[in-house]
Amino acid sequence: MRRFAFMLFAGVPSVLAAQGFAVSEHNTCTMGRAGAAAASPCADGSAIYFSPAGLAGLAGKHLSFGSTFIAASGSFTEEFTLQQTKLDNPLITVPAGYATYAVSPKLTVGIGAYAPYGLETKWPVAGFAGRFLGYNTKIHSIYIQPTAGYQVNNWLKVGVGWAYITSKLELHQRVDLSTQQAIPGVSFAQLGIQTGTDFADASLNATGNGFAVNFGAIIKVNDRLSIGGHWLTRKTIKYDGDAAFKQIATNLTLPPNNPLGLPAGTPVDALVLPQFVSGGALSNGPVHTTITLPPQGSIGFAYRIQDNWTLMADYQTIIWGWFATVKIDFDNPATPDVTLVPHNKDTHAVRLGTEYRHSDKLTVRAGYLYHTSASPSDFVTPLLPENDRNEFTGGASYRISPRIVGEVAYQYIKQNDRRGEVLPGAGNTGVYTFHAHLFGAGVALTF
Amino acid sequence: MTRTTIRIGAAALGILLAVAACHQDELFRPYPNGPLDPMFTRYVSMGNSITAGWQSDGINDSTQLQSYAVLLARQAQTPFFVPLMARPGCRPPYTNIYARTRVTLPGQPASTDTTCALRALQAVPPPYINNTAVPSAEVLDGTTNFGTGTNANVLTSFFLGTLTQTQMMMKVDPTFVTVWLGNNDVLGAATSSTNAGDSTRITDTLTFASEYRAVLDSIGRTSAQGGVLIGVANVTLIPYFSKGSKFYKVKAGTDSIAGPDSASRRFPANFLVTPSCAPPHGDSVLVPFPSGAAVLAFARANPSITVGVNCDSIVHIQPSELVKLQLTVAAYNRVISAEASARGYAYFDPNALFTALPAGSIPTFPNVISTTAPFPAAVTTPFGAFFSLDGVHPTAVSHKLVANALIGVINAQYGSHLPAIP
Repeated sequence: MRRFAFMLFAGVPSVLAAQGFAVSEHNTCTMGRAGAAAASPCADGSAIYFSPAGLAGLAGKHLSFGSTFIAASGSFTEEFTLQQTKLDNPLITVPAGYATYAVSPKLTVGIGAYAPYGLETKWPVAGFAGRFLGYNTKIHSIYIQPTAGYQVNNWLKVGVGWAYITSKLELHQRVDLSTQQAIPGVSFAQLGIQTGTDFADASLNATGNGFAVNFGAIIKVNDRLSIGGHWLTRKTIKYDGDAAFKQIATNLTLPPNNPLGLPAGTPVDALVLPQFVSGGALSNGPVHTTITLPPQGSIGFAYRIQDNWTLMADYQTIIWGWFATVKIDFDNPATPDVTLVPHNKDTHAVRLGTEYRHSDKLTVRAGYLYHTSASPSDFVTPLLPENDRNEFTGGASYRISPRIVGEVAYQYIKQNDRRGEVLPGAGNTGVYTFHAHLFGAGVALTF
Repeated sequence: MTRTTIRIGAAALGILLAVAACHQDELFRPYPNGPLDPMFTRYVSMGNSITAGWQSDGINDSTQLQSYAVLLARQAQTPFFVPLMARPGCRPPYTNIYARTRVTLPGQPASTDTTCALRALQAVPPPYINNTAVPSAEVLDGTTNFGTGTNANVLTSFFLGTLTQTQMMMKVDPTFVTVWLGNNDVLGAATSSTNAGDSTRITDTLTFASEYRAVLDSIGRTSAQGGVLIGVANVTLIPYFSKGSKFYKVKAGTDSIAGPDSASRRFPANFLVTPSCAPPHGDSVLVPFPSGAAVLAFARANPSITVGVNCDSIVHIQPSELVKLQLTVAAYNRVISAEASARGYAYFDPNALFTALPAGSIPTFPNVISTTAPFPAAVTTPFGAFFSLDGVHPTAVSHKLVANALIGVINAQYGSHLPAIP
């Protein structure tokens, strides 16, 4: 059953390695300008994540909240059979909120809640070959970050935040009987059991928490040009949870003269049943793991072309190279521990945004971003069939009253098609496609 | 100023978009332009040992890939998953039928009749099996693994897991099917080691028809757009059998067998042939290889021991049994042909293919090992170029012949343009 244990967690690193699914849409205003905010964050408190120094000079009290709704579509086409399976994702909601308070003209403090690592990937179980790597994966990592921004002088702002992280991991997959060992050294596949014979459903639920620091600075070069950046430190989080296994009936019976030498008509389900009882390799039990949420940062500039028109550009990177080793530790001694080496790559993104204040009430935004993927070509799985992406955004703010601003934004993600795997150990045997429509809506209040 | 800035901004954005030009991965199909005909999107071959690729009394991942079904799939440029058996095989094919040596891996103990390797672990695990054929399968085995008269064996498990041929076929949901079942419904009788030609081991035609229709009904519930039903081979034409009269004539000196020298072209003194083998009776007695040519080889190797062939023995196919076998094959093929017509499938008669071969292509007597001079043909081609070392199953040459014949039949029936194998 060692093989099973490997497969159960094979996809976890990839889940977290996603630059694209590592949600960057933590604010509707910023989403409209493709996330370009390092030098000039939106004046609604979202600087807490995008550029903590941007809090400095934010007068009064601000409260903003909103949500991004992600409608993702994708598919996997198997190249031998040409069978196409479509992603079965629900509409995913990613909320965020920020509150700030100007202690003095130079010092502003605030607190924000955002989810920089969030994902749900869901494939249909029936007929999808990749269900043995994962058919439903969820990860929620919420950062709650108190932050302070300080105006050092008339050209320098600095900011720092201390984020409490609470993270939840949920993974579901089927287990393929053909990959299991029938007798030591001989798999069921070698005895003729067909690839894709479901005999167990496995799930893992685990939670963990930790702390990270988000800091940055903004330099005002002149009245038109500002340069800024921020850095969110890495954090290794220890997850504790439970692994649960449920037997799936194969309803198979051994034919006469089978290579196991068992009587004709012997139910296969009875053969594997001992694996599920207490002490068996597939019995329920606690599981522990640690995952490093990698550091990320951005640097960029904002150039005010006209009094009402600003152009922004950011470079962002996530250092996925830190994500080197993952050890899965089962309390059940019958289930061997597993160590994974995901070989992820650092990711890089370019974000271009512009903002045009049409009137005192209406501001419009647009943007474009491109980013690379973290997953190496030998680790593109159903959990996150990731690749480089081109994304286009648009948005608008409308001042409903002197204190209330309504925000809307739209983002289209087009991911490059990518070859990937669905069968453990079989290599890349098909092509994943992915695109998504994101809708943002939020409200910013000023007091 | 503003207009210039817009232009510069647009140009910059354009450059960035160009730099970020998409790199799209594409499917890497085994046949990038295939299948040649949509009818071959998913091809399934049902059958028995011939279709499975059994040769020289054994099977492994080499012989399996020589099957006509694999060749046909290649010509149709359609993915085709075969349940490959690791070498040396299960059981390993003969390398010398007289010495009864079998394919053996270097450094391993010599393979025997009971040697059985496991299913090979393929780089891409087969999502299903296209070649569902199982050696020893009779028509009944197409639909069930259990019960009286079924022949499920270790290869049934290795190839299909716990499924039957029809269950696996339906799992694939084929668009095209070939069915070559029925040979074993008469071959078992013909090759019985205790009573060759035993009529009680022949599946009666009514039962055969019922079981055959059950297989076809299963195919009818799939997406199959076309298929070929292959007639039962006339098992009495295979070089595994030699006529009793041939023995008589060679012994009498009016005929000879192949050999490297004159002594090898005759029978030795310690190999006797009874008068019952004389024509015309002997013309209708078929002597199986183990009771005939193999005994001759034994006699040559053991000159002090007298052995021979008695054409009245039940170990040989007697004239009445021969008639029964031939009538059965003809009856089976009428059923198959009628079903093909009724269901819109093509029908292919393999017997016409082999009887049309040039004279001498199928030897009337095996090449027997010589003790007086080297005779490599007795080891490499004891049954000629068209039949493997067991005298029953076709060689790669024959499989190619069958595949090309099938291609012709398919193209004629369905208007496809599958290319012949050069």
